[in-house]
Amino acid sequence: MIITELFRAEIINLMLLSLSLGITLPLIGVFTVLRKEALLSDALAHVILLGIALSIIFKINILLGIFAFSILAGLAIYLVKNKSSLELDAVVGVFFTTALTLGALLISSEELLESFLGNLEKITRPDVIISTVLAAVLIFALFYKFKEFASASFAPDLAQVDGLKVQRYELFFMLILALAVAMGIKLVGTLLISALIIVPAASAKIFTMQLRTMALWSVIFGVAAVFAGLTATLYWGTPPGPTIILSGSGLFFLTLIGHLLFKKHK
Amino acid sequence: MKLISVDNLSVSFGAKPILKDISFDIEMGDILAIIGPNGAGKTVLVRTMLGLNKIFTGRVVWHSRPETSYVPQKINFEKNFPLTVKEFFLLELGRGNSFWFPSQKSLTEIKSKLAEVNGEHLLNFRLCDLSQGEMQRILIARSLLENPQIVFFDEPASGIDIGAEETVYTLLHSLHKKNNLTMVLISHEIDIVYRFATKVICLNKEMICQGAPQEVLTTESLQSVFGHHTGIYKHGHDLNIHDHN
Repeated sequence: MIITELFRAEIINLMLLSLSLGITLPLIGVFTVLRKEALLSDALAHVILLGIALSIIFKINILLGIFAFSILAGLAIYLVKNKSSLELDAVVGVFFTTALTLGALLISSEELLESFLGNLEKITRPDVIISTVLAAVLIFALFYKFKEFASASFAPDLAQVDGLKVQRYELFFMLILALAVAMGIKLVGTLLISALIIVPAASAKIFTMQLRTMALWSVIFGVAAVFAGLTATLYWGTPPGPTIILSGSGLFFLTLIGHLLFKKHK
Repeated sequence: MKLISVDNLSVSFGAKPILKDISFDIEMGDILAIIGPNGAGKTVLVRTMLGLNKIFTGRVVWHSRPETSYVPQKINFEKNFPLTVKEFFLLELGRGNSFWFPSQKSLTEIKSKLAEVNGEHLLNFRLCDLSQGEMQRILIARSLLENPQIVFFDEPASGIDIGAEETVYTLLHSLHKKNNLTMVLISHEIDIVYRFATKVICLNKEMICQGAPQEVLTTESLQSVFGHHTGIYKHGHDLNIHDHN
């Protein structure tokens, strides 16, 4: 029965979406770890919750609401961070809590839980097409401009003196992050999306000695977590978000234990 | 030929004045040393000239845009981040040099710059595993990639032991001679400033003195900068600073 299901269009759609998310989000995670901005995706995800609530109330396309709010939140965080004396964690804290509170007030408890944890049944074919095309564009941009993003993230002062438009790349990165978070919300949910960005990168960071290998291993861990989580969801009917993230966390702890054991015997 | 003109530059952070009414010129081929006590505004002056500090009044004019490099005192990065020395250098190399698949030419250039600071063995080390002195040498070697015409050094020998410190300044001096490299360096080592700099600025929030080191580094000017307990004495070609405290 599982074999026949695997060939159903829905499953292929899910696999495409998983591959898109499993590559894009962990790759972005490498930079968020490098920039010490791991919680930024959390803030974006919770602003999206507000977008979902308003889309339901005003009966507009939810995917449109998700993308619009994510981009607006990204731009707003970028502006507040650069134009005020506030540190990023304070800005993130303000956006995170305000959006979460408003979203929770405006949305019914059933829809709230669905938004938090993701729902496979709500994923439509246009969602998959948009996400796949968008993922291809984002992955290309991240690999093509990897050097510039890494320079601007690692030592922005040096990069600026070298002639790189650091602020432009910061804005560019914020938009990529906003689009990627929006892309994954329906599958993973607002509560857990940032885990798919951070956990694979953190797992890769445990044992890699180079930035290039960290990026590649982050992607491998991301794809493995999404596929393992989705397979478990299809078998046991568990919510996809928590299952995917638990798979990622499982890989993290296995890597950590393996690394500690290997180091001990070295 | 004038390279940079700083006119009536003042910087304040909130109510705290950092620099007041600073004016000077940098000519092509100068070795300009900036000396002053802690909190004198030396780093802020350099960062303002480089465009990294945008809060100021007055003018900083670059008469041309030469290839510029900067060696900060330190860089803050995520603890244990897996970025190797080689990758750090590959980030700096300009267009046409792949980060993912570096060419043999790029690797040869990186190794030759590392050799200049006796750091070839550090190529595959992670930056986070380097000592402060090794990191300083890496930053200097990195600044020399792409053959800059002007380099700003913020205490290039900080964290380096005394023997290596001399090596760093000798390297910088030979680069200056070989490539007519213009250098702006913040330094605490008055004897090194005396020997290597062509021009010196004494700073303590405001300009205390400027000119050729042999002319302006007097007991009076140093006392104005560092306090009345400071004095100097000459020993052969060297100038030594001493503290009466």
